[in-house]
Amino acid sequence: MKANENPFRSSKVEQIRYALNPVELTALSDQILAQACSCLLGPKGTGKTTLMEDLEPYVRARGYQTHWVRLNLESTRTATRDVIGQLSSLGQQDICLFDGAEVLNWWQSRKLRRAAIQQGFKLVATLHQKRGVSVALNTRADWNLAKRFVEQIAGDHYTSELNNRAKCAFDNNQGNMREVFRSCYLYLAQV
Amino acid sequence: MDDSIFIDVEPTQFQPGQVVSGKLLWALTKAPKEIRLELSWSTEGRCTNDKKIEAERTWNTQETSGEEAFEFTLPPSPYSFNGPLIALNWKLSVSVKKGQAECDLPITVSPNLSPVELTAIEDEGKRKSFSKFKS
Repeated sequence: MKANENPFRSSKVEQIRYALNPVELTALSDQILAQACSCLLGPKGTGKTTLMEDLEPYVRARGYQTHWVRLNLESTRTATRDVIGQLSSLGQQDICLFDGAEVLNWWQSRKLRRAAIQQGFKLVATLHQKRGVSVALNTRADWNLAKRFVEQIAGDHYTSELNNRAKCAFDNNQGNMREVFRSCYLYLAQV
Repeated sequence: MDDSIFIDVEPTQFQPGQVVSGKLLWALTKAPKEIRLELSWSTEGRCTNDKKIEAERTWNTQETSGEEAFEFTLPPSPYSFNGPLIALNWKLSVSVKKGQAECDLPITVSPNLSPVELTAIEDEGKRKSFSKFKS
């Protein structure tokens, strides 16, 4: 199967959103805005970034200006330092959506939390491990949810073999949904 | 009345370096602030998409309906291609500032006017080492 026909191609997978309804998203955004620093905690590929993207319109609706920071293991030290420096201009009507905060070291995390408290902006970060900030939501790996997504995306291409591949990828990658979809993509690419 | 916006280009297959010319037609319920047309390509596959806007044009207009002609010269590369692991797609896309209307028109850019079809390697043998220090 060619990339343009593969149901697990990147543009289709990006359309999958976190399984929270508008009422739950409103409650979660209230919870985040009630404190200076909070985090979405969970293992890789369990939907933290997707959930943060889903939350953005809800915090904007409350009059907050959103500022995205995206870091990953490939981000250089200079890039990390620059990003933290840019946050010095944020004030009380700003919220920083920090994706990939686990790449920060202890000192950088502390500096960031202090900046949020002193300047009065809200900080919400995605983290793999709790680092002294309150947890707004814990995202978990869930095979039943992953299976439902695989069935939904695959449509007519869903087979027991595809399901086996997905389960295998789920188990081998500690429930990383991104790896599950990649494995399904590769399986269908060979069909 | 619903907003409608349309890119009129015929045909939609081009050779690299060729000129893409056509018309933009719109009928909107609210006056726009700006209409933007982009010529871009993006990759599609199992990883994050790669995208590039090769050319763009904007019209500052408040007219709720109208038409504008446009012309873009295509770059020599990349070609449209489609393989099992990755595909590269070209498109023309138009969006309206101060409005929801948008429209995409996929186009093909290739020497033989159809996307280059990449095939999977059936039997991938052992790769030859690139290092001159290894035999």
